[in-house]
Amino acid sequence: MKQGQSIKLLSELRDLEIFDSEGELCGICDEVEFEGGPGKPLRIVALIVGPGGYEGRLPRWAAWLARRIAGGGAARVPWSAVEHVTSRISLNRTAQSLGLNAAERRLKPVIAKVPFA
Amino acid sequence: MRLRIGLAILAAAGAASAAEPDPAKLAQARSLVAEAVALDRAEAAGRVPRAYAQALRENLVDGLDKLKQEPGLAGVVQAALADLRRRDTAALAALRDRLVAQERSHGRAD
Amino acid sequence: MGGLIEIVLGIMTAVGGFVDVSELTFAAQAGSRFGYSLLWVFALATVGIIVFGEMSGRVAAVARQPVFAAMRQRLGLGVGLFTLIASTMVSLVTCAAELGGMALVLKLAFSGEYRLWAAVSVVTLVVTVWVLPFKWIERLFGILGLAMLVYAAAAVALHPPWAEVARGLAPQFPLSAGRQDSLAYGYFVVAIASAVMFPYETYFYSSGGIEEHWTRKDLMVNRLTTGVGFSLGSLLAMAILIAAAVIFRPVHVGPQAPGTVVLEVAAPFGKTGVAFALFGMLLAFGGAAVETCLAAAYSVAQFFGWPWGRYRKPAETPRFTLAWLIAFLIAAALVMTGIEPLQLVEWSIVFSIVVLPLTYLPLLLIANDKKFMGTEANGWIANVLGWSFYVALAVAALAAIPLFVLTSGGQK
Repeated sequence: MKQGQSIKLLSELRDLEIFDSEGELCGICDEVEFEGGPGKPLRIVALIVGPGGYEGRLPRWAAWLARRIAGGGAARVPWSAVEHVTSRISLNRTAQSLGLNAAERRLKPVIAKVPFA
Repeated sequence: MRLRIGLAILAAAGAASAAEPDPAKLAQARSLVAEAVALDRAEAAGRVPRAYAQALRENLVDGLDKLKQEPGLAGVVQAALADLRRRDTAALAALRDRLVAQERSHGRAD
Repeated sequence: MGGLIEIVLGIMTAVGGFVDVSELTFAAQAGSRFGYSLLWVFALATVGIIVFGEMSGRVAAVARQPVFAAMRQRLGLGVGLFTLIASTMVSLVTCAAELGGMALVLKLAFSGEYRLWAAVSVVTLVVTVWVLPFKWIERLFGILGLAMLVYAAAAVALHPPWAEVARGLAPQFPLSAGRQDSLAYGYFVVAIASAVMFPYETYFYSSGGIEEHWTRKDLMVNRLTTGVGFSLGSLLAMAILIAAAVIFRPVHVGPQAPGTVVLEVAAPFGKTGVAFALFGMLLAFGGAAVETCLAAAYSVAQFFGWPWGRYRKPAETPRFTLAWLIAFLIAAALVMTGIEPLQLVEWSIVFSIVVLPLTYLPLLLIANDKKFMGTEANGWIANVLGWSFYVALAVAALAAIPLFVLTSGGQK
């Protein structure tokens, strides 16, 4: 599927894995941001990536639990960064340029201190 | 006063050992005793290393120890522990057969 | 030639890694209590794990979807999160059971303190998983675990009544048994199915397929590894049951610990057999501990979209690395509380089967989705078998907890 083609169902986007322009897994599409409203065209504006995007999708206690495990952050990936959508979402930019996988970049130097890391 | 307390304790102990054991705990006790017999025989026949026999025997003692407080099992578990320590395989085998008979009287077929 | 070696190594790894502490314990208890009459459950459950294992490998190779990523897409965030938490808890308890099994085996071989051996085991496993690449982690435990074949040799050497063994392969139920024996038989049916079809096996196998960068070219390797490897592994588990029926049943032993099961090989092979059995058990349980730990880490990483994989260096996937380290820590802590490995086995068996239907449903759905699978979507055989097993597992999942309670974990 290319940009400009209509996406019929939310499920074609939400909960898909996201890979950046270098083929790195950089998250899952946790929510989709639209603009427009009743009577007006609805447009996808951005993908929300991170447990911060669970609000409204889970009961409050479940969202709290998920944030305890995986943190509370959420990155916003503009729709223009999406290259195509198949069984996964492929981006036309790197994870770093979009603020994705920030935790990996923070933790890497810590783990790298251990031998054989 | 002391005599009354002593009689009360004896009565309680008698009641505990006369109580019916839980079938699951009875099965555990029977198996542990049977395992002890099997281990003794394997060791006597030179089929198992000493470290293995010692460690397994310790496991069996631990298992039986946990069943000491079970209603209806106190007496038989004490006897099994004593026979285990003495390596009296014949006595253990007799104890095992008694436990099997007791299980069968409660409806267990195997 | 290289392809053939890959296939053979894959099969050997599947065989050596098939039997873990749960299968060993339940196979021996089943044989000692019910003779050969539960063999059919091993056979049938093995067909089930082959069906779902092959499906998960095919999905990994073609759609390049690991099970937990598929879980969220097909079941939604809420049900997916519930399954993640439930299955991760089950994986951790199972990992603890395997670590406890390792500690017991080391104590049986070398004497010493159980908790100290548990600590040695977990440290050794952490170092192994940290240093070795994925393929070698799998192969080390799987191939060395082939020492467990001494149980197969023992079963043959004990000259079981083969006609009776063959009759045990036909599905049956002891209609003339009393109420308690019938309930216990039912519990063993559920427990054996759960032990053979543990969810962690699918998570690990499918994630492993992605770790090894499987593509459509590897579909034959997948079919042979699951079909041949799991079948041969199952024969090993059945051999443990058969030997228990010969050795333990006549003398009323219902093995309360993995250590007692070793007596099955002591009878025909003496001290050499015991040495092989202990070595094989150590590697088999160790391999299972690694699989359950990594399965928990894969599940969490895939659910939240973290980069994952042991084919990459630990520093390249920090959150995934922390996940499996924490998983080992939690499992080790459980073992250090002194809970009996057998108790941990019981819990992991019962709660695994409750989680199984939730694990297999997204797999069935995605394997049928031609948009993801193209020409490799499920054919009618895979669908008939897959959905039949699914229904059977759902029934078993409903019966598991009541049967566990009514039979005190198969002891009554």
